[in-house]
Amino acid sequence: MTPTLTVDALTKRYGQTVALDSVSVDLVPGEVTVLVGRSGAGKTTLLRCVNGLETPDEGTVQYDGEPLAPPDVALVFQGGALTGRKTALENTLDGGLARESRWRELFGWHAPAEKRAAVTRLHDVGLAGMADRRVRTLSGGERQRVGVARALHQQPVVLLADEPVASLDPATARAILALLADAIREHDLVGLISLHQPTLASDIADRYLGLTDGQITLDTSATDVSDDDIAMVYE
Amino acid sequence: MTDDISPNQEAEIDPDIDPDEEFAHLQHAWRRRYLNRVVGLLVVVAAVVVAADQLGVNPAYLYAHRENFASILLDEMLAPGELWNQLRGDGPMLVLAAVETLAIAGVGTAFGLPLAFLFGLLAAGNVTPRWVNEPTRLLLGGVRAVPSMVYALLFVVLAGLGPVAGVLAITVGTIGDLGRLFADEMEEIDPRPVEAVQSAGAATLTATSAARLPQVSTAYIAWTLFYLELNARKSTVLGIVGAGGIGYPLIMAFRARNYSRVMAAIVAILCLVVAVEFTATRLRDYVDTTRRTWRE
Repeated sequence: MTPTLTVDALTKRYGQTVALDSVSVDLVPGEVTVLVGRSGAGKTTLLRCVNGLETPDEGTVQYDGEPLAPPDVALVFQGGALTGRKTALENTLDGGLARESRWRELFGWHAPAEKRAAVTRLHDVGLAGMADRRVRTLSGGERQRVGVARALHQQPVVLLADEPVASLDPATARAILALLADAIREHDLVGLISLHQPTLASDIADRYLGLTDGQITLDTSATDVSDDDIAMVYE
Repeated sequence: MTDDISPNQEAEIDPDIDPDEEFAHLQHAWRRRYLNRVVGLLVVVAAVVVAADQLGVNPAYLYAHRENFASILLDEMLAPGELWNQLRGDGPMLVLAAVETLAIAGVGTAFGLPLAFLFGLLAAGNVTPRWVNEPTRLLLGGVRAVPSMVYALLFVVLAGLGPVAGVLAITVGTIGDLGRLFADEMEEIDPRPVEAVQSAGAATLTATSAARLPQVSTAYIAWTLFYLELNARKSTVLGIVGAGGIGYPLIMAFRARNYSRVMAAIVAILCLVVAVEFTATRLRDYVDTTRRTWRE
């Protein structure tokens, strides 16, 4: 049986606001699921709960029957969330921190094998020859490529992305999304990507998941989805 | 010191480079960087050792005289019974001196604040033209170059012995330091809101009140409270040169070699500084709305 990411009755409240209202969904590896919904619908909260950055008030997240936690689940942030002063390689290596010893973690003395692997990750995301460049000097698209490289360097089984292409131009956005989709399919990862632009989603989506006011209001495969279905989520 | 990471930003690397080649290239760069860092560190350590030796820092001498220090510290300063008696006897005097110290800091900060604000605006490169802000910055730098103790000595000449000299010294110090901080903070603001109000017809003064000050107000208040705290600490020693406050009983006790009285004064200073710091921190948290929302 293929392993599944099982989100079961996930509920998260912030004071009086219910951000997630008993969300349940199963996701399978190798499939790109695009999460759509208006701002404030709970997309970010869902991704953060699955990643473990937030603790849900109720409900569980399991992968293959086991609780899911980093580094098995990686999150690509909006704008990359990189350390600008560090180089592309150093940012990528941060993805592998959980594998390295305490001392290496503390002082950033990465093992040679880790460094070698990180160089390959940067090549995989299209940043050959850029390893020693400070992230601050990179363009928005290049930064997000480093963000993807760092997430992949975690060697996750679940790859999440929260608005990964917001504030990028359409061509760059397509390239980054293709990169994410390829990684999900090639490494057989569970993939969940939140997106604001449904037009970009159609290039990569295998399945659509829509959130409205913290509840799932759309769950359709990409072949069956209609523009009206997606428009509904935004109403 | 050399920069700890100095990425190779100038060298153009072939975009078709294969990972092995790039890794070898990087390892070479890392080795060189590591060597530079080790050499840099050794140079710094050597310089510190030489300078300390020139100053006459001699651990063996200090170790040989440890008995003197220990006897004063343990038998006079930290003996609980003696300290308690001293505190009871000197209590009222010390409380008065502490209150005076606090008043020097408060009044000095209050006098200095409006001038620091004014000079801070004049010294900000994004508010005034170059011919205004550069001389103002230079002036503030000159004011800052003189330590508070020297100002206190000068103002004792002007105002006589007593807290007035202390207030003036704190005022001038506040103008120099806070003015510079205000100017630096102002230069960090987002220029877009300023341009927006300028495009709506606002002149320098209106643009400042409408788009510049709202961006710095929280920081200005936080800095002011921090300065109140710092000035309270500075005021504790102004009495050493006769400018009022708790420094006076402290230096008199030192001269009389009455170390339990010295300790009583130190305890009073400690209470004063901790109380001011606690209050200022609370106030700062209350003012800093961003911090408040983060905590909720």
